Amino acid sequence: MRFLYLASTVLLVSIIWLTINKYRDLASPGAYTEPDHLEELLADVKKKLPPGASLGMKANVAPDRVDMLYFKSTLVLAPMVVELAERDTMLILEEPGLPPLALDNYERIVSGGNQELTYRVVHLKR
Amino acid sequence: MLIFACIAATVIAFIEVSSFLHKGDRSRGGLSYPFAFALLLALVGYSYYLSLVASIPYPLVLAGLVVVPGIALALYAVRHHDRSWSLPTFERPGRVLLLLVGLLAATLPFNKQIYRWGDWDAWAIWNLHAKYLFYPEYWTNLFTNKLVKTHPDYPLMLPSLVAYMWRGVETATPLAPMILAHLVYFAIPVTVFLGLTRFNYVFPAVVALCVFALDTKFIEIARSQYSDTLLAFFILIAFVMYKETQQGIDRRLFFLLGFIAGSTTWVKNEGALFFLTFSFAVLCFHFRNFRTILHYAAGALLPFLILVHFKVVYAPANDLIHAGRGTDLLDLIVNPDRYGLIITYFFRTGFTYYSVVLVLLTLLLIRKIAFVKSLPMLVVGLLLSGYFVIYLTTPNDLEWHLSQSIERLFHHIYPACLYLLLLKVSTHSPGFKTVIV
Repeated sequence: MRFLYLASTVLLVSIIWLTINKYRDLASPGAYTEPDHLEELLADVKKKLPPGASLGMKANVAPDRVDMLYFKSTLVLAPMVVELAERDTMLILEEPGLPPLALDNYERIVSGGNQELTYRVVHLKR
Repeated sequence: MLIFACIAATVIAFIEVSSFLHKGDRSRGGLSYPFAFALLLALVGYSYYLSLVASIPYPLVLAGLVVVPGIALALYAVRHHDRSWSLPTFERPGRVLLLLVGLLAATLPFNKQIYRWGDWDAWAIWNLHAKYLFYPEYWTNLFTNKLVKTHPDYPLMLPSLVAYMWRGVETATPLAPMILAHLVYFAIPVTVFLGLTRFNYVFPAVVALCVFALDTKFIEIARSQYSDTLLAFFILIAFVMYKETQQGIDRRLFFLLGFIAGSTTWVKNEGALFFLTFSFAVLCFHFRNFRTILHYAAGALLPFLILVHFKVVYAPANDLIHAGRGTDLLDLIVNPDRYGLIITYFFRTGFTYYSVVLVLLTLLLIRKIAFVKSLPMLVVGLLLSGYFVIYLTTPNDLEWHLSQSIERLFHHIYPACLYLLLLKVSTHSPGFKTVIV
């Protein structure tokens, strides 16, 4: 009986230890996925725009990738409302290797980026 | 500081609910813990949503979680003159050891596969909805037509649970949905194991543990952080709880069963189909016992009212139900190719990912064990028919719709089917019964 209790305790501790170690790994920057990178990228947008803001979004990438970037940037920017359409205020995401989007009637509010992705938040000229 | 209050309130509430369940039927033993876990998930999910609706501060939600089960315990003590306080116990340490070995085996592949923010629907729907619920001043921003691509009409159990955890730690960390996915993933094999060993069916319980630990499709869906595994857990609990009602010891169980079955509607829209079929089956099998039906209906009332409130006040129209179709519906129904395609997908998915269930079904047929005229079979049969009708009338491209969702629809009933079939096989195999371990 004592052996059963001891073995159960060892197993329980092993499960907890394995899981805590896994979560420690997952909490480190090495485990970051695209939403985390977008969170870092769009940190200034969250500072510039109010939480209740509503903005459109465009990207210069393939349609599937646009959807992916749309959902991930909406997750990052929530509770702002991001719409996959042209609006007065726009979030423009661009991959540097691809042709940039032309937005003549808009003026820049904030911009930034890294080697993989750049962003601009623009507003319709008055 | 809030994190400690959140953890303390959640743990105290869990202990109170476990003790409350234990008082009703002490022979149930450790099985009261999975029941308590399901009830706690539902209570937290509803409390958090109602706190947003009524602008109740988060600390009051924590207080409510402790006070409400506490009042239930006190009322029970007064009514039954039972002031003793105890928690469910595991009578046989050998079985606990077996369970822990199974959980360790299940932990390894799950830990290997899980990653931050989960698969597509996790960040495009469930965690995204949770992020809106995390902000009590702006949570209604979710229910705008501008966000229609993220399906804001989907029920809010999982997002509420994630947001509840985020409010506790005061940041939207991806660890919260991962921990929740982990707990729910664990809860399923634990429930099946305890549900079977409760009747001393140890060998089938070990078989179930092995199946869950080795089933790559089950682990893949569980670690995706979608709400499908949460729904599978609630459906499983409903069937295990129904089996417990047959013991006839705990008279409150039909009330709790109604609450659990009703709560599936708060997890996913597919839960509404389960609730309808399950309630219909309960009505068919117990229509002579008005008191039973009344208890079940009373339990289901709160989940039903909350769902109706959400659907009427906040949720935009569902894309499958409100697709604005009329005459084309008939064209879809009379097209024989659609029937063929759906049947092909049903069989292909069954054979590819859920062959264990088919093997057990075959075993039942070979041994000529009667299982058709039972409530669970009626529910599963009606559910599969319901899935068939949904696919038949879908406004989406049928092949795309089937390829995107059929594995997850089967996943909803997979743990319950495994439990029910193992139980049925065991009931007719006296050799499976053991009291040694």
